[in-house]
Amino acid sequence: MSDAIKVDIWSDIACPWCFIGKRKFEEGLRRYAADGGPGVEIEYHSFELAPDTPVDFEGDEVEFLSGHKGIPAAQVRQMLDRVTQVAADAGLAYDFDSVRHTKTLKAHQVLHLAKARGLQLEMVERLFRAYFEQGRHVGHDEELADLAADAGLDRAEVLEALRAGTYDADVQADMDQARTYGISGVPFYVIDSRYGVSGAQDPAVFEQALRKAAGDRTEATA
Amino acid sequence: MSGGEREDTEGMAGEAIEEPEGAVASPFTIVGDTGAGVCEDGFCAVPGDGS
Repeated sequence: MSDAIKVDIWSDIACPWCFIGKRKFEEGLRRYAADGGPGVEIEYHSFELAPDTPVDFEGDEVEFLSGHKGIPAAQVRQMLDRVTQVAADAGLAYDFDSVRHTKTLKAHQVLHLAKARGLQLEMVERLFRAYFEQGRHVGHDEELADLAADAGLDRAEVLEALRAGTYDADVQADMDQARTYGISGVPFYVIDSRYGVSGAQDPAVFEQALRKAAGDRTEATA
Repeated sequence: MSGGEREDTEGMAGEAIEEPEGAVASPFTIVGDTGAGVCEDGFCAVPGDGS
């Protein structure tokens, strides 16, 4: 085992609570790290929240949720307004009017390529911003390649990996692992293979979990 | 995103939590409360709205 505390995060790019949770986790991590202690290694894992989502949906978020999921439009708008406010409180500028709803399978494949190249955290951040704040389409190869290039990946390599399905099995393995762990919702955080945190919890919860994991290490070596 | 109403599986404080059929017990010690925002089965519940 490495000296760093391992944090495994199951997440989907199209999950609004996952980007909000990312910011809350980062704040919890900042507080934890301020007092020293073991370092933290973060790895994101794939969780396709709505596999039945079409790659190309011609309509906005309200139309998707009201038409595809059968939720009254007024209720959807109210819900999006509330999530947007929570996101703003976390420093994020969600723009649901511009969101391009799509299937996220290929975005997950790019995240695995990014992990292999040591750029996964950069890619996660780029995809979340693209989806929730910038109205970018994260379901098309060319757009994904552009975003990946922004994160430092080789554009041609991304296109080839998507064409060949190089990381199909890795995405599926993450999904299978989630099922084995009983993870049915995201975001879900596993701290040092010991503690589980479900949802976009307050930063204090993440700080507490990290301190618990660090404390366990201290006890184990005492 | 996905969101909206879903069958509530999170009990209020002191109430039993009804696990969905086929649920697998978590092997982890769960930290935090059950009121945080989470997306599940294509739906994203908003804490406080009862969904």
